[in-house]
Amino acid sequence: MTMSNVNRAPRPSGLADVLDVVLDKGIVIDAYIRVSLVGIELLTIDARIVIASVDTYLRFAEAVNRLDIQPQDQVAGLPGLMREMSQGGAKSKTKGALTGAKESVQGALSGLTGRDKDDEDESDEREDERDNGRGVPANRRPRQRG
Amino acid sequence: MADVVLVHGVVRSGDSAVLDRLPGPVRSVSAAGLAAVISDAPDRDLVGDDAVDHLDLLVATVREVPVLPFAFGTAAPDEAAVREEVLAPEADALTRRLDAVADVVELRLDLAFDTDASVAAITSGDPDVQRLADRARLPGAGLAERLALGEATAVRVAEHQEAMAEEWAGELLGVAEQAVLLHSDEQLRRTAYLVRRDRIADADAAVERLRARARGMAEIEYVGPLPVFSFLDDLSSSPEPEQRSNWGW
Repeated sequence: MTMSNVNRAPRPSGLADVLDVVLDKGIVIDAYIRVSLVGIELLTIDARIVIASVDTYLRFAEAVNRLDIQPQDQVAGLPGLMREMSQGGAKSKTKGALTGAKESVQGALSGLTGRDKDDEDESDEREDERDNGRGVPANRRPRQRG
Repeated sequence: MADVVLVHGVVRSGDSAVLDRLPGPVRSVSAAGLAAVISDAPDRDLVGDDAVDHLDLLVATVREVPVLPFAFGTAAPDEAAVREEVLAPEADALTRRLDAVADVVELRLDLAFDTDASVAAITSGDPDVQRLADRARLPGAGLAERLALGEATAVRVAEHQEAMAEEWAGELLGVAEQAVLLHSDEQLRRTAYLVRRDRIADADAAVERLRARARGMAEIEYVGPLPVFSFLDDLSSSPEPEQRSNWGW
């Protein structure tokens, strides 16, 4: 890749990263009840997944093994999880999570026109995210839907 | 719900001409020397694309004039409410905050480390990791040995990445007024920098140097200028932004 002038993007390209910029950020006017945020409290995004520690450690062990010259027959004995980790790696896991984030956003945004509040179906999934600031809770799993 | 409007941000009323050049059906309502950037709220639920439009609008605005970004999804029943319930009662505070952000923008830098490169960098010279790797390879070794190896490696990789990130960050810290670490895990390290408008070119140059240093170790995504989303509280709490470090490491 050649270096062109400035490799600066005007904004993040992915939806999850866009949401990371605009959600929970910006001026909030709360002085008057008629001006409000539309359903935004329903939106907390698993933009990225922190892989559980065990998975992470196995992946690093695998990475070390890849560097070694010796045959890696031992890997064959590990469960399917391990194969998935070594093949997919972090990037594809992240992409899967991003897709999940998009789905959850589109499902979670409530009606601006105040139609109904019935679509709060995700509240049970979000209980532990609230107080984690910008961080992503460590105990979350990628949402697998549809 | 024909009258409901989304409020995207606020600019100085003298700058509202910028709206003619903005993407999408956007307009402004003015009061008290301020202009709110608004658009008709869609007659449906807000979706991800609306968030993208909101950000596009703000990015196009901040490129030309100072703007205070409003939280995505801010809605008012009609234009009069924007004037009377947003701009007028908050005029002093909004003006002060707008002044505070007038000369600065936010630039973001994502470092995505290459795990294999990081592992290669730390394992070759680390006898502990080598010893654990050998042990994990012995006949009869199982999950416990692999986890011990993985944990030791993960800890060292994290330290290594942090050290590199800190070293590289020096390039931009000299240019930025403030910096805040937004996110950090083994895959991504995201930092927001508050940069004076007249130093964006310096930041660009710093990032190019950083890219050269990080080549092969990390991918870099560089985004901006954005409205100062990550520094709104800092900038408006004190009239004069004090020098302070928000570094999380």
